[in-house]
Amino acid sequence: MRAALPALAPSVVLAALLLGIGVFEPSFLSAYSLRVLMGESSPILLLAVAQTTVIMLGGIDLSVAAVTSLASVLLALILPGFGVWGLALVLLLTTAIGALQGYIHVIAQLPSFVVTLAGMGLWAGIALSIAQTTIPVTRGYSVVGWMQGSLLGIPTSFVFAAGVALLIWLALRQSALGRYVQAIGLGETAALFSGVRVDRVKIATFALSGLLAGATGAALVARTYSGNPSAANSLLLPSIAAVVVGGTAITGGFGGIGRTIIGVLIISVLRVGIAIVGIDPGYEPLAYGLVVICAVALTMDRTRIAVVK
Amino acid sequence: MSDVAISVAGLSKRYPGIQALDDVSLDVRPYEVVGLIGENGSGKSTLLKIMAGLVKPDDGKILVRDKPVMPGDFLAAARAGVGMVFQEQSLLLNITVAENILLGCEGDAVRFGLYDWKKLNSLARRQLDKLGCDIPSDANTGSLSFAQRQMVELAKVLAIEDRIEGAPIILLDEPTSVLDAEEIDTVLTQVERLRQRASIVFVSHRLDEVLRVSDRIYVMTNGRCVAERDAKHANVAELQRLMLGQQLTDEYRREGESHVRVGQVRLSLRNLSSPSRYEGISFDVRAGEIVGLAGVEGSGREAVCRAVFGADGPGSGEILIDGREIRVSGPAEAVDLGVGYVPSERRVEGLVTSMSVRENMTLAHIDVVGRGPLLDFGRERSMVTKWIDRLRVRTPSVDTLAGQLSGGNQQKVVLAKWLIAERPRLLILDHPLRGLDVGAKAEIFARVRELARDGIGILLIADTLEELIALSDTILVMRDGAITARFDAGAPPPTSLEILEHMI
Amino acid sequence: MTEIDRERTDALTRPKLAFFGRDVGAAEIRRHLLAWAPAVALVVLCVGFAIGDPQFASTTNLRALASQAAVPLILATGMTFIILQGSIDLSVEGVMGASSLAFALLIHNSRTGLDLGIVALIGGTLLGACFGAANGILVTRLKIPSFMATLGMWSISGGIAMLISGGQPPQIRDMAMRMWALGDTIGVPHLTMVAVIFVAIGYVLQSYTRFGRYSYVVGGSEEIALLSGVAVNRHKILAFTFGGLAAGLAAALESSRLGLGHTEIGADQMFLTLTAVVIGGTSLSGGRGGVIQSAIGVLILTVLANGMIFVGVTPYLQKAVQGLIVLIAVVAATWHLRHRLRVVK
Repeated sequence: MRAALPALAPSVVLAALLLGIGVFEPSFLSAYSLRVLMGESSPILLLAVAQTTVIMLGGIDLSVAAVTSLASVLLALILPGFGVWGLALVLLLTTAIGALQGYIHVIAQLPSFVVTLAGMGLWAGIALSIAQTTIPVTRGYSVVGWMQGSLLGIPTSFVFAAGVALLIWLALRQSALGRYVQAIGLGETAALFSGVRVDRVKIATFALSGLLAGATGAALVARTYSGNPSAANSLLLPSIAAVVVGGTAITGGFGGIGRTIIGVLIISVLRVGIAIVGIDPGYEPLAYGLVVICAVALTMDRTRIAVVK
Repeated sequence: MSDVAISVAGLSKRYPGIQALDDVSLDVRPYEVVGLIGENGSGKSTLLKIMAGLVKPDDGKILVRDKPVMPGDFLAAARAGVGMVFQEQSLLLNITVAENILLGCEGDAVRFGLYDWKKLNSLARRQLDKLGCDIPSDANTGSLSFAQRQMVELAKVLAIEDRIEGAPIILLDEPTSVLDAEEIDTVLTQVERLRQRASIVFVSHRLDEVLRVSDRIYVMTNGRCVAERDAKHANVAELQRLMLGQQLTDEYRREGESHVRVGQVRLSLRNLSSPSRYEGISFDVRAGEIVGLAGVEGSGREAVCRAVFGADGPGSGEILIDGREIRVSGPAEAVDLGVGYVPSERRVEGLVTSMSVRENMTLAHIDVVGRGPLLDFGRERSMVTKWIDRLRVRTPSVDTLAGQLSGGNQQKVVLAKWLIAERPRLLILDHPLRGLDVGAKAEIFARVRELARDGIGILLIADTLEELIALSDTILVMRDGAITARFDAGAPPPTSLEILEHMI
Repeated sequence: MTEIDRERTDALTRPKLAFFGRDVGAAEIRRHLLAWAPAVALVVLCVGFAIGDPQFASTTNLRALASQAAVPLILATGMTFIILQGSIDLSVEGVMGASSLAFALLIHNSRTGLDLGIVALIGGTLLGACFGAANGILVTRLKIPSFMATLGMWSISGGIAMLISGGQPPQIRDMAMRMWALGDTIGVPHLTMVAVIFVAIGYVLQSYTRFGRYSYVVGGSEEIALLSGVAVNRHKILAFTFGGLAAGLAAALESSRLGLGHTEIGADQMFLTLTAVVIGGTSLSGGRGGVIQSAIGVLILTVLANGMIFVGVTPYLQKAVQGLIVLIAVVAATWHLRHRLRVVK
């Protein structure tokens, strides 16, 4: 059965991190800095939620960051002219991209990491060919600008992201789709033999991932007042790290949005904490890589993988 | 120096829910061919795997030339001179013939990691010559025909000879099951030749083949070795009888059901064919009728059932459910049409073992517990509880993980999965009693009869002929992809022997 | 003591599905055709571009092509063995960055007082090999899928590169090295010569050594390999180490050419290498292909990139095209393996 990582461990890690950094630098625990922390974690939260559903199926989406970048570039170009409709169009497009990747994964029976790896190149390349550098957004900004405000002292972007996470969490818990996702992750063959339309569930999940990547693009545009083809490059690994460190196993079936939220907080605290404590920012990618590897090694259910390639 | 090449004593192996081997002992003398026969599930495959060191027995000893060999250690078995030819080929298609034959034991054809191709090819050539085979050593294995590859497999096993003193022990697991007549003849001739240089254990479900090449025959049934006969003096009828074993228990006795159950035609197959698996299959299953399919492995009966469920695509022919022709491209469509499938691989295909009983039971027809787009957990709980009571599933709670239940109870959960919605139209049962203890078998037995009484059409593949005869209303016998006989199971019911004749 | 569990042996003793293995003819013919396709494509491309713009075939441009192909050739050779085994290595870019920095700091440079010349080259290459070995250990001992392990390693090695660099790329002051890296003999750039030698070494490894032949075996079927007593883990670690070594070597050479140690020296190389290997005919699922095929793939992509500039296509589109090519190539290669009940994650 499942490799033992007690469900509480991530929360303990989070608490330990917060305390540790707080002891080192008390201002870290101030309301202001916590607010900054939340604002920082919104994009990663959205991406991590996207990643969580795909990982629960047993797959992975390596293209989320590239799609986010593409979305930010497209938004920067389209918002001035089309406002809200532009936003809707871009979100529709990213959803379609996700669905397309899911479709290819299902029809050609290619591993999801291959399809999304190719997608990563494709969408990032398209984003780069459209815009080589930052495109500032002035007109039409208000369509996404509301995310930069704050609600009762909490950054709106975080409220939005958390709201989305909560919504999806509820949907998964309370719907047939969520049940199917879990079944596919834990026993795809049995799910197939029970009449579950595995293909459709997979396509829907990847489509959702695409949608959320688009939303993340909007969040980034809001934060940086611009669209950038490389905006999200540095977000891929943290999004995966957040999911894995939260306790969702990449073998599928176990975990969920709740755990991911804790994972996101851990990653963000790590990020901000590194800066505050004064460690060289070069340690950040190092930390992410180590965290991903350790967390995966601990949470994988090896009994369900006969051969590791 | 004893007279025995390999001997096993007191071998036992238990898998969850099933005793695969029960205190089995046999021996093979040098330069002798021992045939191993038995029905599906008799344990012959497990026995072979234990002898090859691929599976560790719970109990028992293995002695090769009087020296004990550590059970479960295939490298030790290989060192002792035991080689196995698998049913599914174990050759790599992307390397040459020579590399396959000498894989892992290239000897001094590879020194300091460098390949001396000439040496390798000639070493392989030597093995191939033993078989009188003209396949070139440097040919790419992927370019050979299936029968040619079978030769290479034999050569690979023979290569053991050069690494040990004395004759190798070759285990052949159904080497002919996917070959055509001419190819079979070639393989059997080879086996007869090989007798001069090796001790051989030959497993096949085809009695005529085993009788042709073997010196002695062991009969296995239900994990036990029940008889040993001299091949020359063997009586075919007796062997067949021995293969079936005596299991008739009261639970299996047919009740004198006199009421006419047959209703409308639920399932109709017309000329169903799938190249090299089955051909021209046509039969009907009526509401309330239990149709049993008899046949050995390779007869095509499992493939036909899976085609009806949409798990395999038939090549041509028609499937009609309730008179309507259907084209199932996957199990999902079949389920929507009211077909249910209780698979033989329960833990992989029947249940998601890491999900709860409740979640498993509602997986196929989850709309039953839905309220709009959301799930109604309360309703789910009550429905599941109802069925747990109805089928008497023994589980600590509805939230227990399905994998923790006993085999019989797992099977009940699988059944419930199909019954939880409105009555299904057709239920396909693939070895439903496999791995269950006697009590569980009786219960499932009774349930299946009940289902038929309720008007569901049932297609059944059973583990043993007794079960088939006791459960079915109509028995169809399949052999090599075609229906060879049809029995009405009314009184008097057909005997196992009659059926067996058409199976083999 | 080694025991193979029931599921594995069951796979070997269960009768094959009907569509595998019986009929060989058509599959073999198709495979032969596909094997020649990349070479044909290369020729067609060259001829096509030459017709489109004769400048393409000028000695200057050919020299430039050869020069551009050097680093990818080395990387692709290293990557080939990993992919032959059925694994993947996503960490090339980070490893290159770290090796580049290490090399630049060991050789006569603007930051440290060291002046180790050729030893620096060896040092950079060895660092790459170490990262590769680490990848191999993660995959074999911790049983982390290779794409995940190398994804993490990409980040780790990239981070290490950034730390070593400290924001200031060290400039290489070893003029002899720089001149050699930029120079050529009889019209062939030195780096390309090294690349060709490396490819040749790769070919020898693939055809004449246990490491090479067993890479095919492991990629063909790990179960069969284990049952035959092949030291699968050891060969996996070797393949990853070799891949890392190639990355280290390529990084050191490129740094010599550029004249500095740079964290982003490997930018976009992972995709390029992967695309080259796949398009050359080495299957991502393992067991098929080889070093020469990957080399042809590299040449195809180099010619394509070079030719596209002649024709006026923006270089940024290249990455998109590469992604598309990978997708199409992989779909085409595995299309015939599809089955209703196949589970692919």
